[in-house]
Amino acid sequence: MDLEKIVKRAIELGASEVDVYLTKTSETLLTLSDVIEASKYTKLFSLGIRVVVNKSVAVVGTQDLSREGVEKSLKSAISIAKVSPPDPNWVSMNKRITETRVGNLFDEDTAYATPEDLKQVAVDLLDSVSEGYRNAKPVRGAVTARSIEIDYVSCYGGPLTRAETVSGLHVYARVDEGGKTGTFSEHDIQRSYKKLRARDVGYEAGSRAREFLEAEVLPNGVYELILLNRVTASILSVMITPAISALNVQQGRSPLSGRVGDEILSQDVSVVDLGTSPEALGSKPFDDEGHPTKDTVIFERGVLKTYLYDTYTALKEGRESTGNASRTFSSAPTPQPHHLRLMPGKARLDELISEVREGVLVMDTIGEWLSNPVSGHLNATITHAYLIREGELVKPVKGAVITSNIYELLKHRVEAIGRDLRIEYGVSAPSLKFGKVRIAGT
Amino acid sequence: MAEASGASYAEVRTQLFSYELITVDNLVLREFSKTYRVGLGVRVLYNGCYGFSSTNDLSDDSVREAVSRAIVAARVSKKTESLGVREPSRGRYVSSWKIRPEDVYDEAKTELMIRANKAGLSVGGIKSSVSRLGIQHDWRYVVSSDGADLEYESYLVGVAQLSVAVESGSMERVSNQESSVSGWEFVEGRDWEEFTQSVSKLAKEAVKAPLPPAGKTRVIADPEMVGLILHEAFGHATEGDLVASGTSILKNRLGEEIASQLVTIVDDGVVEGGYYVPFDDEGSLKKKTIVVERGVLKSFLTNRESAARLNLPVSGNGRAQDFTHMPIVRQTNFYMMPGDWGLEEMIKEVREGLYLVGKGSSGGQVDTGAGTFTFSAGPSRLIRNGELGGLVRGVVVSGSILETLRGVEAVGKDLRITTSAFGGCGKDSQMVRVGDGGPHIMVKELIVGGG
Repeated sequence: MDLEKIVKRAIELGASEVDVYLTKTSETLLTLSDVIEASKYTKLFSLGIRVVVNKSVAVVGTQDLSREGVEKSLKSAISIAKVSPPDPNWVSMNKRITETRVGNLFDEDTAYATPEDLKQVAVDLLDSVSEGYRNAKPVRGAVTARSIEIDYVSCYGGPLTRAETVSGLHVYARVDEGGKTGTFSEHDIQRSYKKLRARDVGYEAGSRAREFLEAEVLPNGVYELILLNRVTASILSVMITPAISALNVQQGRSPLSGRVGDEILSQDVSVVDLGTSPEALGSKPFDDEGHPTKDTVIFERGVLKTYLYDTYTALKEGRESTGNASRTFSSAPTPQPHHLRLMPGKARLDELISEVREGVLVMDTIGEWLSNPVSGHLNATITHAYLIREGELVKPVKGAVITSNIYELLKHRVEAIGRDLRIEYGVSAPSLKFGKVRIAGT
Repeated sequence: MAEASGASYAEVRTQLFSYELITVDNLVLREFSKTYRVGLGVRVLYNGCYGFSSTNDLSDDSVREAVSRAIVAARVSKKTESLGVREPSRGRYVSSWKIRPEDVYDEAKTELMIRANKAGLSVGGIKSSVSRLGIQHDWRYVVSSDGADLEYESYLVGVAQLSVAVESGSMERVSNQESSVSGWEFVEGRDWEEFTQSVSKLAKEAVKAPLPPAGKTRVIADPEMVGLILHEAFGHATEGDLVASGTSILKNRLGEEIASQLVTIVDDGVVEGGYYVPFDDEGSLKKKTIVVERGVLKSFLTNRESAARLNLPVSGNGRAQDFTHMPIVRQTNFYMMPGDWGLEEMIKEVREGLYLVGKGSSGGQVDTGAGTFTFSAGPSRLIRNGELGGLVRGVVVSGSILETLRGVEAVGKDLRITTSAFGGCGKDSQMVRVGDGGPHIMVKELIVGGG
């Protein structure tokens, strides 16, 4: 598909600025119960066209890539922009169209993985659940291999092309014994399906499910708290990502508005956005409006250094974009992190546990995304945790709600930071130990 | 084509979908976008195994490739022992509308939203106002080798508002939306300035409100909250694929009394206020399914495969997000039937507790295996001395699925079902639109996460 032709055509039709964003994704997916339930292969091309007519912006996304389909979308975009009121804050689209040198994000084997290739991974994953515990069964899961290619061109430059692969798996294990049920889910994500730790994941899910057979409901109270790395990562992404978006800051929807230079978090906590590091899944050579990416320090020893900007929010403040524009084919760009990382510390998880007198080690939560990033109020329902007494895991517990303000937690309650970095797509974090926190149980 | 390649069963789904979104952010038109999706998904049963593939390149070569990829995919899947039996159905279904939204000038849409946004921002103490208009058009056509030939066309339109209030260093957001399966007449028939102002006023009130006391308490839930509780806490556990695979705590419990006798729950594809699902993506007509009748678990929601595994009728709940996904078991409009209590009576009866309001909630989540659910409520009210008391914010409730349903002590006589043009329900990385609701209900106890 000739994207430059689309740019030219848009200008002919009356656009003052235009950019075109094409995504080509292909995915092979196996869905699992205790066997491979089903398998699918999807190939999808999606085209995004953004036009500006006299400071009025419109976006049209289409998956109808026939000549007529593209022409219809172009005309639709122009006609919307012509009748829309101008955006007084509009300056221009990104004019610095180039890329940063980033290592290899693409694994050929993963891009062309067949269902047959993933079958062995799935079998290893399913088999290892009962190695974790003989009565543990996998009840739900998936193995996937995906490739995403992005082509970008605008009236200011390009074309640019980037491609990456991602492969993941997850499994939910269950044990039924003596009228009781124990469950646990575990997952892994890598660039290449060949690096997936299927056996470790299955074993972990099976053996933990056995332990949680005996989980008791946690009594209401105040506990020292350890969030396991995967829980920290999830909470970081829900609470911090929206708050550091320059768009939310400028529009009065972030508790961090006007706080650059302030000590917001504990001096032990540093948070960076990694845009150029292949091990940090989500890194890329250029962002979704063709701007080169970089690594950006957001909190340095607790002090807020910057927000994340795309071109629109940056030009509004007369500064340079941080290269964080993110869009889907059918939406306008907004600032998003590439890969948010809470920097690891020195402590091993067992050292964190050994320091606790009476506390809880949280292994998994649900509903943390229901928290409120505008007020900073955190809520997460604990489904899997261990009660700790005098530095020892005493018993499995469940069914309680962590309820606290994230900034209060990360500024005044952090006592130690683990070295055990967990890498997810777009975020990574270690385990964290906090002082006393209220937990709503029974 | 699929049958010629040796498949014993094939179903082909074609979809034309469009979504229009207007976002006005603090008086500025932040986004006016239109999305067009078109493509085809093909699922085959080959040597007794399911395989699926999709493409949006509708050339002959690409469609042929999709069929052969589906067959390759089938080679690694498990054997599907049998499929639930259904009558072959043919038909064309359309949701009702008077004015097609695409016949309305784009200018009129943006003007309306800018006015609504301005009204939302005009309330004192409001720092941020985001107003959205969403218009969805969906045309789906399913043909299967066992005689299904079904087509539907529907519109879904809605307006959403997010308001952020700031007062003495404290911030609070409140959001709300109203959507309907209808044409532009739904938008024309309402005062959206009043709507956005009401959201802003609530945000302004909520920013000063305290958090609720943490711990166990007796609650009354309003219809929107009941919809959420039912959908999250119970609906997912009735999905036949989760039951068959052993992920649901309701496995092997048909015929058991699992809820209070006051509770009757149904799933219906077409209902006033709800989303529009006349048939599912496997080409089975969606029937009204009685899931719980007077406290007794009567049936599960099924697609053809889980119906066969569970020995139940095919209920028409095999739904896919779009043509790129395989159908899986999903709820359609899941709601509780009304009873005979008045709201005032319930409040008096509760005496001390919490009145949970769904407006402003950001949703919920459940662990169907562990039986634990959690969801957020919007700004809600304390109940003190048998009367509604002060507003509280940041309310998140959690509980055990079955204990909650057994703990239903009263069911109201009102009924309200709602849907949304802005969100839906996620499962296995697929998002589908749903409807839910019910009457007001009184529940013995839930865990409230507060301050």
